[in-house]
Amino acid sequence: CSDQFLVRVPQGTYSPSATQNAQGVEALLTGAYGQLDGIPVPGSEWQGAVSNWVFGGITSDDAYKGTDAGDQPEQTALERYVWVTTNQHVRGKWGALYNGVARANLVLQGIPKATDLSATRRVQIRAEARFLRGFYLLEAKKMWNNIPYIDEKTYDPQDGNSTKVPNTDNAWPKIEADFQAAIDSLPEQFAGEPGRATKWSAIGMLAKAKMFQAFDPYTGAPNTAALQAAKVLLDQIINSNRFALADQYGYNYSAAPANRNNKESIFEVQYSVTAAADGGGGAGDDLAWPYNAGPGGCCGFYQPSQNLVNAFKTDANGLPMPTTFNDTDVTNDEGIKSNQPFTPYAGTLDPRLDHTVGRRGIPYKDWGIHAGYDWIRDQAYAGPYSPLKHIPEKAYSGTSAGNIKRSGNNYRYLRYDHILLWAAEVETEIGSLETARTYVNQIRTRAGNPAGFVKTSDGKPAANYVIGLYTAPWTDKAAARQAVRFEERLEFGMEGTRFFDLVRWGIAEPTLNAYVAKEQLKRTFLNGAQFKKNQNEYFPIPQQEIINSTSNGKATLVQNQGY
Amino acid sequence: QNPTGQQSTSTTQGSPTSATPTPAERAIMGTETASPQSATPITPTTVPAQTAAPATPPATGQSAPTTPAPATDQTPTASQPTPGQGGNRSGKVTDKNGGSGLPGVNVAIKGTQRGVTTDAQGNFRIQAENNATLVFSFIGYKPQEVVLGSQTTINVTLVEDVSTLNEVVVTGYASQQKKDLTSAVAVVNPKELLSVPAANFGQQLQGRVAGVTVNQDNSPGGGTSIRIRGYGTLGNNDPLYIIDGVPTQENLNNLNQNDIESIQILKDATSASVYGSRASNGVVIITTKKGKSGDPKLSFDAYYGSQTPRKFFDVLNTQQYGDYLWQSKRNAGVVNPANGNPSQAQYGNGPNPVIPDYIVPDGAMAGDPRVDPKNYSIARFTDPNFGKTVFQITPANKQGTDWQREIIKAAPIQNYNLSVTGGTPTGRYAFSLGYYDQKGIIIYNDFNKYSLRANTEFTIKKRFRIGENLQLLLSQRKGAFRNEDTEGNAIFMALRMQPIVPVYDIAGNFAGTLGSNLGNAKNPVASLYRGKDNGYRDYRVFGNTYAELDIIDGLTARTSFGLDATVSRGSYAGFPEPEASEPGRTYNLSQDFQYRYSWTWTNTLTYKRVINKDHSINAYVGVESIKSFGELQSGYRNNYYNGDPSLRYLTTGDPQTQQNNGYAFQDFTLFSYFGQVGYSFKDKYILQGTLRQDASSRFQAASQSAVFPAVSGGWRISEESFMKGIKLFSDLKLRAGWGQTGNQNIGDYNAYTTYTSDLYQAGYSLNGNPNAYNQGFSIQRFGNPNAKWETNTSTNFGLDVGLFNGALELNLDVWNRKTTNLLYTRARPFTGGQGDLPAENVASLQNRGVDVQLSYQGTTLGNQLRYSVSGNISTYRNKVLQLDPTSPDQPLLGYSTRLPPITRSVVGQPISLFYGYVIDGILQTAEEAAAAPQLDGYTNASVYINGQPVKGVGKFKYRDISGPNGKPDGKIDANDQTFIGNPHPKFTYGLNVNLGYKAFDLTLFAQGVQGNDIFNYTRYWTDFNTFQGNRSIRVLNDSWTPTNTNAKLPILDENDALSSQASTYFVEKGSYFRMKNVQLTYTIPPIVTKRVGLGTARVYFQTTNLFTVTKYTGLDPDVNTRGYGSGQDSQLGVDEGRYPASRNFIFGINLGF
Repeated sequence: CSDQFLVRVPQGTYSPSATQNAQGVEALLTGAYGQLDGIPVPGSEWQGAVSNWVFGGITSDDAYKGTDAGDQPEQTALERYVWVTTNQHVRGKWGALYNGVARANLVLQGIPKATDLSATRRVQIRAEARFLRGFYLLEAKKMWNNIPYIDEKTYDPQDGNSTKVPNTDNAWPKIEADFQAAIDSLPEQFAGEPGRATKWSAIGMLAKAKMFQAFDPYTGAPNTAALQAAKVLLDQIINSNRFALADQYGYNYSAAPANRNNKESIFEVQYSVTAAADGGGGAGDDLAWPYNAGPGGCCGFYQPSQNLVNAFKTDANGLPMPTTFNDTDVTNDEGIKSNQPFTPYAGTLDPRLDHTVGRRGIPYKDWGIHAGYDWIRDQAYAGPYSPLKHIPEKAYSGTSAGNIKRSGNNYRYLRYDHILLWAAEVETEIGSLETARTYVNQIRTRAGNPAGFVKTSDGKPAANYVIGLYTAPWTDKAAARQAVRFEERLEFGMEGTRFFDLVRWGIAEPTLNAYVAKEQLKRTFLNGAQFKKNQNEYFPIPQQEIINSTSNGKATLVQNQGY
Repeated sequence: QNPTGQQSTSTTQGSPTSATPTPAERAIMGTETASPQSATPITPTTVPAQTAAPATPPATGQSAPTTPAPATDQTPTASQPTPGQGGNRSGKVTDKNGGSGLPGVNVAIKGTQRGVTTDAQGNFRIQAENNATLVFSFIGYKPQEVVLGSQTTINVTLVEDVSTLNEVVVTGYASQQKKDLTSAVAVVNPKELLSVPAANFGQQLQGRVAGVTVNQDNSPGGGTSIRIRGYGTLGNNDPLYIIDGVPTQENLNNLNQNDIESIQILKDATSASVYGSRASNGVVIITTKKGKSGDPKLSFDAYYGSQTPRKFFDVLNTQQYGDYLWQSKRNAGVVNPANGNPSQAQYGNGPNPVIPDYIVPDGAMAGDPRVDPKNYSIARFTDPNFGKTVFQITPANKQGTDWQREIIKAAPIQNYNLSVTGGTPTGRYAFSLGYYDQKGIIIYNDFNKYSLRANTEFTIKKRFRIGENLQLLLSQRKGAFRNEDTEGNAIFMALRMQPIVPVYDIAGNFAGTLGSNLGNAKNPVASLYRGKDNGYRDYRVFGNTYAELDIIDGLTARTSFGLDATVSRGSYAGFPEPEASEPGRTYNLSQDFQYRYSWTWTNTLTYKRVINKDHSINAYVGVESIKSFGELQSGYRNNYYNGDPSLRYLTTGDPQTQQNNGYAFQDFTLFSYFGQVGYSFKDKYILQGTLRQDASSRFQAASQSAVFPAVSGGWRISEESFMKGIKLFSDLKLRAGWGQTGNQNIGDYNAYTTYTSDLYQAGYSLNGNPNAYNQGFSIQRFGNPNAKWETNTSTNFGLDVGLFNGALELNLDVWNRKTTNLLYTRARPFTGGQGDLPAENVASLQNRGVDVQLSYQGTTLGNQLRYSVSGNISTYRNKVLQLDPTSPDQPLLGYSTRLPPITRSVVGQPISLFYGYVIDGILQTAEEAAAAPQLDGYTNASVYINGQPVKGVGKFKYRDISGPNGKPDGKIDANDQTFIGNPHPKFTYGLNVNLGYKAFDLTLFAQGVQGNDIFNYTRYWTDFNTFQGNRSIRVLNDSWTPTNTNAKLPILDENDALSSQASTYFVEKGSYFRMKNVQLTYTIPPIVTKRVGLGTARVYFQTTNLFTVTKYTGLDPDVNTRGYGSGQDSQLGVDEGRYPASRNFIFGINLGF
C-alpha cells in the first residue's frame, strides 16, 4: 500500500502534459501574449509596464517622477541619471521582458509535441511566438543594448543554468530574424482577434528594429543601410493602404470600444478589465494617476514637465518653435490653490497638448475640469501638471474589481503615425525632404482636425489652439530633421518613447542636459542632475542578474559601459 | 500464574529475580499479589520516587511501552496476605510543607513486590513483618524507608525531592529516567512556564531553556517562533511539536497550556532522530494532564490583569513639524524666489510656519466662509461638489495629536481554567475547560479561545489499556493589526500621521489626510475601529485514541491513531475611507474557509527487560504513517451598501465584482519504520541507538526514502565504586551522541513543474474584448524531481553534575550541527522566466554552541526560607558553509521593504547579516564634501545654507570601501556596501529565582540577550525625508546645522532621497535584560481553606515586563525573526515596527477542591 500512499499528484495545477496538445499550446501562446502589458513583474507592476513611463518618460524631458520627494526614491535616482546597478526598477523590467521571452520559447518548444495541431495553426503559432520573442527582446535591446538572446533551443525550464547566455553578441540580427519569420508566416489579419500579431505588425516591428539602428546613439551619424531597409518596410505599410490615421488624435488614448483597435492601429497591447483578473488592464500605470481629489485619487506620479508643455506652443502660423519654445513658459497655476482664481494660458497652442497633459482649467477627458492644486500631491515639489494619455475616460474606467484605475485603454504600441514619422525621418536622411514634409503634414492635418480639439462643455475649444501645416518647401536637411523629430515629440509626448528616441537619434546628452539646466531652476530635485555620455544611453544590467548569471564561478553577463 | 510471567522467567534463564522491570512497571507489579516470577528486588539505590507513582506524568498514552495502569488495582486500604508472621500496620503520609495527607503514595515492603497506596487522606494499611522495611515513595518526593519494629502506627512525612534525576522524561516513542539520558533533552517545568501569562506556551518558553530562542509577535493571537540551537536550514526552522504522541506544526495558540503536564525539548539529533525527517529543527514533546486514581479533584485557576504600554517614540508636535518643514524647504532651496519663503498647503507661505485653524479646507483660518458647518459633507465619493463647495471641515490640532497614545492603551487580559481529575484503578479521567481572553494594547484587537479537554484511560483485564486524549478548541482572533503589514500597520500609521491632523473632524467623523500636504497615512484609529471585526476563527480537534497490550512481561504493543483537524474561517471587510488621501472607496469583503488535517497512525512494540540485574535493555520498533491535507476556498465581493457586520456574507455583495479561489495548500504523506535500542550496564554505562527510515511524498520515487541513524552513550561516573566515597556528587555523568535528522519542508510539489491558468498572470484578450480574457498558461513552478532529503548531522557532548544531594544541578552541553544537502531555493536568472523556484540540495550550514543550565535549591533560616535559583545561558555560532556552488558570490537576500533587502546571507558568515553603507560622520564643509568619496546626486547636489548654495555640506560621509575592481575608487555606489551588523546574539540567558517564606512565595524571572544588533527600519520613516509623514524628535535635535556640527543626522533637505539608504545609521545595539516576571504568591493556610471546604488556595499578584534595560531606541528590543513561515529566517533582527510587549499587572488565584 505504501507505494500508492506516497504518490501525491499535484492538486489544482496543470501538469506539463496539459500543454502538449493543440489546446495547451494555444494556451501557452495566450500566456506569451499575456506578458505584453509587462505584468507580472518580479517586483512592482510599474517596473514592467509596457508604457515605459518610468524608463522612457521620467528619464526624459517629457516628465518628472512627480508625487513628493520621499516617494519611490529609486525613481528619483532614475530621473536624475544616478543609475546604480542595484536599482530594483531596472531589474523588474528585465524580469518582465525575459519572462515574455521564456513564455514565447515555451510555445515554440510545445509545438512539436502537439500532434493534433492543424498544419495552418502550427505555422501561425510558430510565427506568433517568434513575433512575441522579437517584441520582448527589442524592448530589452532598447533598454540595455547588450542583451542575451535566448531561443527555444537554449531554454530548458527545468535547468536554471540553461539561460546563462552571454550578452556580448549584437542581438539585432536575431531579433530581426524573429520578425522576418513572423512576416513570412503570419496572415494579414486574424478575423475577430485584433489582439494577435499580424504580418503587418511584424513588418512594423522589423521597421522599428531598423529605426533603432538608423543612427549612431553616441554621434548621431546616420546608418544608411538601416535607413534604406527601414524605408522598404515603411513604404510597404504606407502603400498597402490598410492603415490610416484615426480621424481624431484623441482616439488613440480613448478606452471607448470604437476607438480600440482602430484603423490607425498596427499593434496594440490589449488591456481588459474583469474582476476575475484582479482588475487587469493598465496595472503598470497605477501610480501614474492624479492625486487626491483627482481621478483615481492616487498616486500623483509621472507629472509632465514644463519643458514638454512649452513645446506645444505654436507661432502665428500654428507651427512649433523647436529652438525657442522653452524661452518663456506656458503660464500655469503653480502656487495657486484650487479655490483661487486662475486663468489658463491664452497664447497659441498645439491642440495635442490637452490630450497629452492634464492642466488646471482644461477638461480632463470626461472627468471634469482639471482642478489644479487639489489634484496634485505636492505642487511645490513636482509642478502643476498631471499625466493624461493612459487615463481612461471615467465612463470606461474600471469598477468591476473595485479599482477604478484599471481599464481597457489599450497601449497603442505601434500605430500608423509611428510609421509616417519614421518614414519622414528616413526620407529626410536620404534627402527626400519634400516627402518627409508630406508625411509630417499628414500628422499635423489630423492633429488640426477641429472636431478633435478638447472642448469645454459649451462646445468651444478649451484653449487657444492654433496648428498649421508646413507650407514652405523643406530645403534644409538639418531643419527638416529638427522639424520631424520635434513632431515626434509632440505626437508621442508622455507615451514612454521620448528617452529612447533621444538615444536613438544620438542627441540624448545635449538635449537632456540642456533640459536639466533649465528645469532645475523650477524643480530643485534636478539640482546637480546630469546625463553622462557613454553611460546613460543605456540602463545598467541589473547587478543581481549578473550575479545570477554565474556559471562555474564566472558571471556570464557583462556590465554595460560606464557602470 | 499468568502465562506471560512464565514466559518471562524462561527467557531469563530461570532466575526468579532477574527480571527487573522499569520503575513505571513496578508501579503495576507492586500492586499485584505475590508472584515469584516477577518478584522485584527493590534496592535502596533504585527505589526512586517514581517507583510508586500512581500516575507519572509521562506514563500516558504518549509513552507506549512504559505506560502502566497508573494506579493500584487494590483499594487503598486493602492489605495483603503475607507469607510470614507480622501484623497490621497503618499510618498516614503527610507532606512536609502543608502537613496535609498525601494521597497515592506508594508503600512497598522492601525486597518484595508487595505494596499498597495511600487513600485520599494519605492513610494506608498494610501487613508486614517486624523485620521488614517499608519504602514510601511518591513522585516529586524523596523516597523514605522505615525499618519496622513492633510499632503498628507509622506516620511518615515526605520531603519534596529537589533532585530531578529520577524524573521520567518522554524522549520519543518511549520514556526514560533523566539519569539515563545520553542526549540533549531539556525538561521544562510547566509550573514555571505557566507563571507568565501568555496566549501560548511558546511565548512562555522564552528564556527558560538553554539553546531555545523564542521570539514573539506580541499581538493578541499573533505568532511565536521557536528556534532550537541556531538556524539549521534556510527554509522553515520551526521545530516539530508532538502532543500526546501526535505530531503537529499547527498554530501554537490552539492549545490550552493549562492542560500541559510536561514539556520536553529534544535538542540534538541523538534524541530527535527517532522523528527522522521532520526533526532537524528539534522536537518539542508535550504531554497533557491525565487522570489519577482517586477521588475527583477539582481545581480552578484564574487570573485577570491589565496590560499597559511600556514605551513610545518621541515624535514632533504640530509646531515642531512646521519648523521641520520650513528648515527642510529652506535648506533645499524650495522657496519662493521673490521672498525666500517656503510654502506649504497647511502652514502657509510666510517666513515662519503658521499653524492654520483648519486643515480641510487646506490651511483655512477661522472666519473663512467655507468652514461654516453648513458646508460640511463627508460624501466624498458621491457628491460632485465635495471639495468644491462642501468640505470635510477638519480643524487643525494645534498642539498635536499624539497618535501613538490614541492607539496604544491599557487593555485587560484574563484566563480561567477549570479541571477535574480522578478515577479508579480501571478508569481514569481528566477533564478541563479553559477560557482565555486577551485584548490588545493596540485598540480593537483581541484574541480569545475556549478549549475543552477530555483525557481518559481504561484498564481492562490488567494487561490491556485503551484511552484517548482529546481537545476541542475554538479560537478567535479579531482586529486589523498585523505586524507583517509593516508600513501599513497601525503603529507605522501612528508614526506617519502628522500631528496637525486631529482624530475627528468637526462632525465627529474620522479625520485624515484628505487635505493637501498631509501625507498618505491613514488615520490608525479609523483603520483599527473599522477593522475590529476582521479576523479569523479556528475550530480545532486534536487528539488521539490508543490501545496497549502487555503481551508478556516487558513486551508491550501499542497502537495510536491521532488526528489534528482545523476548520478555519476568515472574514476581512474593507471600508470607504473618505478622510484618507489614498482612500478605500467601497465596502468590500474577502472571506475564506479552509480545512486542514493530519492523521498519524503509529504502531509500536516495546520491550524492556533487566537481565542478571546489571543489564537493562529498553527497545522498541515501530511503523508510522502520516497524511496531511488542506484546502482553501476564498471569495471577494465589492460594493456593499454599508458596513453593517450582519451583512458580511458574500452573497450580499455585488456579484459582478466577485472573485473566488480554491486550492490545496497542504498535501503530503509520510511512511516510516523506526526502532531504538537502549542498553545500560549497572546504571553506569549507557548506550542507545536509533534508526528511522522515512519515505515522503514530497520526493520522487528515486530519492523518496532515507535513513536517519543516531547513537549515543553515557557514563555515570557517580555510580563507579571509586566515587562512592565522595558524597559531594549525587550525580556525575558524561554524555556523547551523534545522529542525523532530516528536513522535508520544501513545499508539497517541489518535484513537479506545474502551470497556472490564472488570468492576471497568463490571460490576454486576444479578441479585443475590454471586459474579458482568453485563458492562457504560464509556468507556476519549476520542478526539481531530483531533490532528496537534507541531512542534519549533530554531535553533542554533555556533562551532568548533581551536587549536595541534588540540590545543585549543572547540565552542560557542547554541540555541533551541520546541515548538508540543504534544500535551498537558489536564485535563477530572470532569463529563465518567472515561476516558483524549486529547492535543490546544494547548500550547507553549520551551527555550534554551548548550552548551560544551572540550578540550586535549598532552605535556610531554619527551613523557614525556601529558595531556588536556576539559570541558563546559551550561545550559538551560525555559519553558512555553502549556498549555490555554481555561483559562490550569490547571496541569499532578505525581504525588500522600501529599502532593498537589508539582510543577506553569504558563505563564510552567519545567516542574515545587515548589509549597507558605512557612515563616517557628516561632511562639514564644501571642501570636505568635494574631497570626500562622491555619491552622485548627493555630495554634488546643492543645499542652501543661509540662502547660499553649497554642495554636499551637512550630508552623510559614506565610506569608500570598494570600487568595481575591489579597491576604493573615490565613488560611492553599490560596491561600497558591506556588512554592517549582526543580528545573532553573543549569548542569551534566563534567570529564575524562587523565594518562599512561610506562606509567601516570590518568583523572579529575568531573561536577556547580549551582543546582537538590530536594524531599526522604523527610522527610515521617522528620521528621513520619506513621504510627508511625521518625524522623530531627532530630526530637530540631531540633524546637522552650521551650529550643530556634531550631529547624527544629515542636514534637513526636502530633496534628499539618498540619506535614507541602508546604512550604519540604522544599526543599533540590541542587547537587553528584561525582568520578565515578578510574582508574589500567598498560600492561604490549610486551616482556613479546610474550613471553607477547599483543598488548597493560593492568590498571587504579578507584574510582567516590569523593566527592560536596553540601549535600543525602538519600542521593543525583542526583535528577531520576521515572521512565521518558511524562509522568513533570511531576515533576522530587522525592526519593521513591531507590536511592543506590554507591561502587565495581574491578579490570580489557584483553588483546589
